[in-house]
Amino acid sequence: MDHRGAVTTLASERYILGEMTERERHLFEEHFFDCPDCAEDVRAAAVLRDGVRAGLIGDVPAMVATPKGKVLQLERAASGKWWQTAALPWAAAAALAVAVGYQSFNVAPPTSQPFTVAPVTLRPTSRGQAPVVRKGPGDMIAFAIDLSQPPPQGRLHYDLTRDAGSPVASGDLAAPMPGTPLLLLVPQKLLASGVDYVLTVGAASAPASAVDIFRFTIDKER
Amino acid sequence: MSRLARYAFDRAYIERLVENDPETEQHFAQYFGELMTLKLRSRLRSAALVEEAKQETFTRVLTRLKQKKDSVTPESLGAFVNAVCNNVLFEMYRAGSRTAQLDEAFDAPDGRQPCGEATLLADEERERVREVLATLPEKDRTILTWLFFEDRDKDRICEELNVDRAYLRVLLHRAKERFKDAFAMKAARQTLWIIAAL
Repeated sequence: MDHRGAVTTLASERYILGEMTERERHLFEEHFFDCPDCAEDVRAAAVLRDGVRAGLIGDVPAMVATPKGKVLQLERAASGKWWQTAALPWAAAAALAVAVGYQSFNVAPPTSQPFTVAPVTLRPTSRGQAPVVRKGPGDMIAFAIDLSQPPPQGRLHYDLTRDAGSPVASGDLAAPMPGTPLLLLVPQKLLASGVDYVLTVGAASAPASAVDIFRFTIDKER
Repeated sequence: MSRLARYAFDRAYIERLVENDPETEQHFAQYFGELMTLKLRSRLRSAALVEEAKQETFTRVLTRLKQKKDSVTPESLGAFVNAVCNNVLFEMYRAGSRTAQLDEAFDAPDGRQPCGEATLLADEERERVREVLATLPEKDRTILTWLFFEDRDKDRICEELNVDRAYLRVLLHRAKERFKDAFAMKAARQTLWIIAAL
C-alpha cells in the first residue's frame, strides 16, 4: 500500500473500524510504520476511538433504542452555565495567546478587548487537499500551520504568494516549540476571494533549503 | 495525543540510537512503541503480552543496529521495526499456551472499563482529550458514541443516518480531522505568531 492509496481509501478509518482483512492490515501496517503522515493519522484515530471508549466524550444527548431498533434522541439534560462550557477556556487561551503575540511584536492590537480566533489548519501539500478558506467577520484569518519537519533552532522564514507567483507577504518568525504548529494571523485585506495562495516556510538561515509548502484557496464571496 | 516532534529517520538518527543518545532513544521508544501498541493490541490478549512483544522487538532492533548498523537503511527503519515485530508476534503465537491468535472479527478490548489495555492515553492526556472531544459538533459526537462507546452495529448506524458504509467512513474521517485540528490548536495556544498588516 502506498501513501496515495492509504489516503484515498481512508485506510486509517478502516483500520480503526476493524474493516480490514488480515492481509490489508499487514499491508497498511507496513506502510504506516514507514510513513510519518499515516502514522500520525492512525494514532489520532486511535486516540479519538480510545477517548470515546473511555467515556471522555461526555455530554452527548441521551439515546435509547426502540424495540424496533430505531434510535431516538432524547432531550439533553439541563445545560450547564455558560461559564462552565469547554469553549470558554479555549477562548480565553486563544485571546491570551493573541495578546502575547501582539506584545512580542510590539504591535498595537486592533481592539482593546480580547478576541478569539478560529484557525484553519494547513498541512503540507503532500498530505491532502488544499483547504478552501472562507473570509469571515474580523480583520484576520488565522492559520495553524503543521510543519512537517522539526523546526530548526532560531528563526523561520515565510513567503506568502499567489499561486501565480506574485508576492503577498514575507518575513522572519521565531520557530514554534517542537511538536506544536506555527500559528499565523494574516490580514484579510491581503487575501483576495477566489484566489489560490501558496505559503512556504523554511529556515531563515537558508531560505532556499528544505521548506514546507502549503496551499489554500480563498472562497469566492457570495 | 501527545504530538511528537517530527524526526527525520536519517543516518544521523540511527547513529544517535546506536550511541544511546537519551533523547533519540526516548523518541524511538515512544514513536514506534505507540505504533506497535496499535498493531499488537488486537492480536494479543493482554497488555502484558503487548508490552512483552514491544520490549522484545526493541531489544532485537537495537541489538541488530549496534551489531550491524549499516544493514538497516534510514529509509527502511520503520519497515525493519515492523518486520521484527511481526517475527516476535509469530514466535509468541507459536509459543502456544501463553497466547492465542484471535480471529479477524475480534474487536479491541472494551476501553470503557479501566484496564491496562486501554490505550495510548496517558493519564495526563485524558483531560485534554476530554476537552477536545467536547468541542466537536454534536453530530460528530453522536456518531462517535454510537461507533465506539455503544458499539452499535455499523449497518444499523448507516440505516439510522441514511448513508452507506463508505460514507460512514467519510463521516468518521471528518470527525477525526476536526479532532486533530482541535488538538493541534490546543497544543499551539502558547505559540501564536502574527503577521502584522503591511
